[in-house]
Amino acid sequence: MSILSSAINASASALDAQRARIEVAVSNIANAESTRGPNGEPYRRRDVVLAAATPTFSQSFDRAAAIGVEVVAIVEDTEPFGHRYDPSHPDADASGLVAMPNVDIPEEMVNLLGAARAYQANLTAINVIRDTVQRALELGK
Amino acid sequence: MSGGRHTHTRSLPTQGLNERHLLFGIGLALGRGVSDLTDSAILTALGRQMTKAVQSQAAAVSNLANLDTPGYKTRESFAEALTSQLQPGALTRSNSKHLDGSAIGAQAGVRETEGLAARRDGNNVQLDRELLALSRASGDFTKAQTALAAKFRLVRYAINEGR
Repeated sequence: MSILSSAINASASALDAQRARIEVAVSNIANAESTRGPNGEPYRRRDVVLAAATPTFSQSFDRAAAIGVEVVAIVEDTEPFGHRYDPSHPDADASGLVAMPNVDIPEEMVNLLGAARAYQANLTAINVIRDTVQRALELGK
Repeated sequence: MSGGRHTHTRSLPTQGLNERHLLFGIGLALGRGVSDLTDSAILTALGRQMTKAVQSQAAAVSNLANLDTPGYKTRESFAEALTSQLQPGALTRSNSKHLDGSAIGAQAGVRETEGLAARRDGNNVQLDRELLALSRASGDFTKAQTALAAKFRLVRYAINEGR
């Protein structure tokens, strides 16, 4: 049972991580035109950093235990801002250029789809594990 | 018409055979003793097969969870890797002390799968491969569970004196 519960926990951690990816991609898309942030700069694209979870003390004894995933950081993309010529824009500089967020919509859509697919795959995995537990319990009938 | 008569005459000896079979089976069971009825070796093997299926599932779940983790390498349960290597033929035994491979699955480890193409971030998990492994392991588990349930039903049948 401990392997099965570790498997469910691993899948649940993946659901969490993929949901974080979806949220970050959505906020990137939402702010693709935000030229003014709290620090006066345009919005910087954010990215989720995933890492395989370090096994807990009890898990490290059982090599067959499933490994989950965790969000270790949400980092800002350091890529330079793009510029658009729009002299009438309130945030335009002396030469009429407006610094735009470094968000690439197609890239965000790809991230969004990938995260949604991974979420689905992990949901399937949870269902399979649940069926396995169910069938194991049927032995006691 | 003659066909119907034919099946009728054929069904009679079959019934007789069934009864004789049953009596023979009961006699055999009494003669062999109750310990043979449970077949503890088979129960152990089926239990081990279930454990192995669960371990394969855990490995596939780990891979699915880390579908997008940079640098993560696909893992598989060691028992699975071993049986896939042994699949072409069972181990040949020329001496009674040789291993026949029946203990496979008792020792479980996890190792990295070799020969998978890695993406640019160093991750080599393939979604379809892992989903396939997951449902295959699920099938293996069901297989062993069905056999085990049948075995237990037999024991219960004996305990209830055939009622």
